Amino acid sequence: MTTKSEWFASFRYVVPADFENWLEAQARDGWLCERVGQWSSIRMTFRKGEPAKYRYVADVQVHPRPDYQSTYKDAGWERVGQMASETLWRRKYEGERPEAFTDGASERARTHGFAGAAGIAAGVMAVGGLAALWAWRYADMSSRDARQMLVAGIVFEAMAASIAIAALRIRIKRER
Amino acid sequence: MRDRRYSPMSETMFHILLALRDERHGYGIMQHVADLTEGRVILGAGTVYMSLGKLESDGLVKVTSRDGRRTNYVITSKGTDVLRAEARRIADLYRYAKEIS
Repeated sequence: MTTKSEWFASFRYVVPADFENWLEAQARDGWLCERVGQWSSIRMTFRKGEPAKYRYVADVQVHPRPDYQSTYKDAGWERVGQMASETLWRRKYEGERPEAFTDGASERARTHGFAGAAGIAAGVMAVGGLAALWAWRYADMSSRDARQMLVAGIVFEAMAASIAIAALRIRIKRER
Repeated sequence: MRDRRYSPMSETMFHILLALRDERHGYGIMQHVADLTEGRVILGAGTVYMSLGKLESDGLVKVTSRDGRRTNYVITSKGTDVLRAEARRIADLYRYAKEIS
C-alpha cells in the first residue's frame, strides 16, 4: 500500500474552505485521506487509490449534542476523524458537489467557530510564551536554562502571533 | 407573537419549524423539506444541526425523545406563534407583490 505524509497541512490551509479544497484536490489525484486523529494537524497520511470525487467538510463543535454524528451520517457523510474540536467529514459524489452548510447563517457560524478556536489557541500560546519570558527575566536559574526559556518564550510568542493572524484570515477571507 | 430574532426568518429556519409540526429528527427534517419543495430546498447536515441547536436554545423547538443516537424534536407553542407570525408576514408580502404583476 502506497502512502504519503503531509506535514502541518491544517496550519498551511487555515481557512476551512481552503483545507477542504486541498483535500478534494488530493482525492482527485488519487491520494485519499481516510483517517485523521489528534496528531493529524502535524502529520496527515494519505493512501494511494483510484482518483475519486470526494467532498470534504471540516466542522468545529466544542460540545456536540448526542445527535451530531447521526445527523451527518444519516445524510450520507462519513466521519474521517477528529482533530481537537474539529471533525472532518467526507462524502463521495457524482455530479453536483454536496454541501453540509447550505445557508449563510450556518456557514458564518462555522467560520466563527474556527476563528474562535484559533483565537483561544493563540491566547494559550501567548500566555505560555509570556510565562517563559517572565521565567527567563526573573527566575533564579542557570544561564543555560535561562537561554532555553528565552528561546521557548520567543517560539511560543511567534506561534501565538501566527495563529492569531490565521484567526483573522479565517474571519476576513470569504468562503469559497 | 413577533420575535425580532426571527422576523424576518431565514428560509432554513422557516422550513425547519414547519417540518417540526410533527416530531422529526435531523435527517427526517432534511427529507421532509426536500419532498415538500420537490428538491428546490436541500438542507445540509451541518446547517440542520446548527439550526436545531439555536432553535432549541431559543425555546422554539424541544427534544421529545432520543432514539439511539438520533434525537427527535418538535415545535413548541412559542415556536408555533413565531412561525404563524412569519407566515402572516410572508402572506402580506405576497399580497403586496401581486400588485406588481
